[in-house]
This record gives sequence, structure tokens and C-alpha cells, in this order.
Amino acid sequence: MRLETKQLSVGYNKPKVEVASGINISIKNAGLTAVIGVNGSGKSTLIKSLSGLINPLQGDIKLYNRPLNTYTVKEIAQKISLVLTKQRLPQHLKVIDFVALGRQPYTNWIGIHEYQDKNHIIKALKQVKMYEAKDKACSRLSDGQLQKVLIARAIAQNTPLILLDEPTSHLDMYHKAMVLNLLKSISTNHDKSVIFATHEINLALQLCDSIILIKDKQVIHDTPQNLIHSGILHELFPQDLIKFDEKAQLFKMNRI
Amino acid sequence: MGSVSIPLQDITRVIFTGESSVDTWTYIILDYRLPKAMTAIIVGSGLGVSGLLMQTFFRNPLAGPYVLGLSSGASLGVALLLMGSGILGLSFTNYLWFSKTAVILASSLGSLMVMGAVLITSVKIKDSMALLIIGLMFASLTGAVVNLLSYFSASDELQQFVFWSLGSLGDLSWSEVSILGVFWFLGLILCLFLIKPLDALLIGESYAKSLGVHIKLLRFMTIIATCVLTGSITAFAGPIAFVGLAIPHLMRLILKTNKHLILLPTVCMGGAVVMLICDSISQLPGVDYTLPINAVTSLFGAPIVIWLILRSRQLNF
Repeated sequence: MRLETKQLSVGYNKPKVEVASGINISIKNAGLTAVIGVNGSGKSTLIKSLSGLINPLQGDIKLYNRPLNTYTVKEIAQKISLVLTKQRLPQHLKVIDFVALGRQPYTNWIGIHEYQDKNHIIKALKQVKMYEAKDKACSRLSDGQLQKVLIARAIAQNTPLILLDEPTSHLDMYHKAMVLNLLKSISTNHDKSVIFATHEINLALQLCDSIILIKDKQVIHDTPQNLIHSGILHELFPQDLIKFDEKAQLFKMNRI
Repeated sequence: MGSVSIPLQDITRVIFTGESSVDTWTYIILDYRLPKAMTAIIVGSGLGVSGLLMQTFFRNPLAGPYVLGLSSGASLGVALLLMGSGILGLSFTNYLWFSKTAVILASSLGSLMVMGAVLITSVKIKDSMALLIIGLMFASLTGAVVNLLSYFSASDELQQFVFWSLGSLGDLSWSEVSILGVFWFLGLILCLFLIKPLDALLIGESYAKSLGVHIKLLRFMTIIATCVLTGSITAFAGPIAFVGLAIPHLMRLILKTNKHLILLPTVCMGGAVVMLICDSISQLPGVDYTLPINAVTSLFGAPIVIWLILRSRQLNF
């Protein structure tokens, strides 16, 4: 078992706000898992809790059958890599230097890259097809290119788990599909468990191996097919504008 | 350089053999100009590195060595010593040697006080921005006390304080320069261990943590390194303006990199060179006056940085 939670409750301290509770997730093998839910339902909070950035309010998170809070930050960094939503990056930071930061959990005290570190960096850049742009400054990339570079850094970190917070936001429809396709290929071809928060429910239903659905502070972890047949997707949003079409397995706009 | 002109061959002779045609020249070079040059090197490199640490640490291009409130603490210490003693009727400014050491001690104590306060808050507070604001508040608080003291103090004590606050690279004996050098060396050694985690911090605290950086330890170490470098320099040379803020920007604009492995040594050298140039300007040959060093660093440095920004249109951390 790579990642497992039991009766997990996530949220924030001071003031205490519980965002979601009773979370039972189990990620056994490689695969693509989407975290879906309405705005403010706690997708990001769950991603941050699973990656150890914030402490859970209650319950256990187990990483490779060992409680997450018994790991040091460096040990976690060798198991989980994280891709966050848009952050302000320094002006002169080059693509290759940004991706190279993914090797930090493995380099020595001053951060010198050995041969295998360089190998990982180049492989990651090639995998997202950004090797040619390796000497560009990150600040000059388009949103789609930047997202690929962010993912390349996580690949270079070479961890069995990759967690992403809304990797498809700010992207056009084509690039959304491209990023999800990239994540899918990483999970199948490189034996990685990829968990990402997203608003792209239609794409996620088509592509993912499992889905974590957050609704009204409750969390369900199941396969897309089971979720579709359980009927819970009908209740995900208010019904006045969009409806879930079970046949097409898509959310559609209501005809006026 | 300076108000006494010494021929070049005599300078080289003094440096390599310790003799020259005029005895006072030997004295001037060995006991006045060389320690001054050493001080300039230490001050420039130390403040440049502190500025680099603070800019990355706060992810803010406006941060400099003094954002933690160190110079305010130091100036409070010195103001209390110089002006406070006058108000109380004690006048130990008459004892020249004692007063110099006392100023260094008072400045160090002031800096140490601020460092303690900042360290305590850094342990309690999760947000680095809060630290920045606390540093600013310290500056206002101590500034108010210093203003009060100046209001009530006699003019010659006030003048002494103003002279201190203008900064000075000279007046240090070899033994004082070597004490300063020890702190400088310790501070820089600490910085070596910060190169890797600071690189990770460039892309944000959350990313840094996910890359295995122990954020609290990094914060603690960065504050200590900055305090050791900046605190000791301020104690011996007064609050030197501008260099700490500008040198890291200069180096980033020239080298177009953010990697600390490259920036740290170049900022070190750049700071030393710029400070030596500023010191030379402050005592141009053939001029009898020596300008206060702070006036030079700002007068000549600020336009250069403005020009660089206008050229590249933006300034980043």
C-alpha cells in the first residue's frame, strides 16, 4: 500500500475549520487518481495534508504502511513530489535549473549534481517535451509550457507518488487534455501513483483509474464507473444549469 | 589616495618590505590605509551576502541586511550610550579609547537584543512576511527612542551620534579588524550550508518543504548568519547604507542567474570591489576632506541601480 488514510479529517487550526472528514483513501499501485469537488470543497487542503505540508486534524495517513508523521521532511521528499498552483518564480530562473531543484533530496550538502542526477533531469525534460527550451527563463514560458516544466520537476524528483494541485487551471481546452494525457502516461509507463486535484470532471471521468470525490465534507474514493452508476454525480452540483448525462458519461448544459 | 599623497613605488615597497623613504608614510600605509582597505573588503562582502540572504529569505527585492531591524538596534544602543550618558550627566566621551570600545559594545548589544527578539518571533510565527513587518516595527520603535534622545541631548553628543550613523571604514586598529574578520569568516562559513536550501526557497516555502528542506532550521540559520555578519559590521563600521541592497541585484542582473552557488561568491567579491571603490571616492587624491562613506555609497550607488532597473525594466529577488 503506497498511501492510505483512515478516518482522516483535514482542515486548518487557529481558527479550527474542518474542511472534510471521514476520509478513507487507499492508493495501492500505480495509477491516475483525480480529486474532484465543487469550489472550496477542500481539494487543495486534502492534497496539502497528504503531502505533509499541513498536519491533519484527526486520523492517520500512512505512507508505505508507516505513519506519515514519523517521516522526516527529507524522507517524504524521496517518496512524494508536489506540484502546486501558479507560484511567483524568480525572473532569471532557467527551466533546467528549476527542474534540477527536483534532485535536492538526493544531492550532497552543497547541492552538486552527479552524473545520475543530470540523467534524471534530462530524462524528465525530454518526457514532457521541453528539452529544447531548457535554457529559457521560466518567466518567459506560456502557461501550458510552464505546467509541463512544473511536472518535469516532479518527475526529476523520482518519487513513487506525485501529488498535483489543479495542474489544469489557467489552461485552454487542448492544453488541459495534453496535461492530463501526460499525467496518464507517467502513471502507466513509469509506475507512478499520480493524484491531482481538478475541476475537469468530464476529462477525469474518461481518463482516471480512480476518483476521490469530495461532497458536503464527505469523501468517496471509487472507480469512475462505480461513481457514475451510484448516481452521486447527479447531486454534485445544483441542477438548474448543468446535469450529468449518464449515457454520455458527461456533464452537459441544460437546454433552454 | 587620501590627504597625504604617497608615490606608488613607496607603497609597493612598504607593503613588501615594510620600509619607505619617509617613516610617516610607512605608518600611514601599514596602520591606517591597509586596515581601512581590509575593513572595506569585509564590510562590502559581508553586507552584500547578508542582503542576498534576506532577499531570498523574504522573496522580496527590497529586502536588505537591515530589514530585521539590526541597524535600528545598534543605533539605539549607540544613541543610549552617547546621548543617554550626556543626559544623565556622565561624560565619558572624553576618554577617547574607552568611548570607541564602548560604542562597539553598545552597538553589538543593541543588535543582539534585536536578534534575540527576531529569533523568538521566528520560532513562534510561521509566516516570513510577519518577520519582515516586525523588523520594520522595531525600526520605528527604536527610531522614536533615538529621536527623543536627540531632542534632549547636547549638540556635541548629537554630532557624535550623527558621525557614527554616517558610517566609517577607518579608525580600526589591526586587532579590531581581526576581531571583525573572525565574525565575518564565521558568518560566511554558515552561509555555505545555506546555499542548497536557499535555492529551493526561491520557488516558495511549500515547494522547499516538499523538497526536504527543514524550514524552521533554515529560518534560524539564515537569521543567525545575517545577524553575525551585519551585526559585527555595524558594530565596527556603523550602519553602512545601500551596499547590502544593491550588490545582490547588480550581480543577478550581470550574471542572469539565481543560483546561490554562483551568487554567493560573486556577491562577496562584488561587494568588496564596490566598497573599495566607494572608499577611494570618499578620499580622492588631492582632496583634503574625507567624505562620510554612507554619502558615497548612496550618491554613487543609487543612480547605478536606477539605471540598471530602467534597462531591464524589473527587479526580482
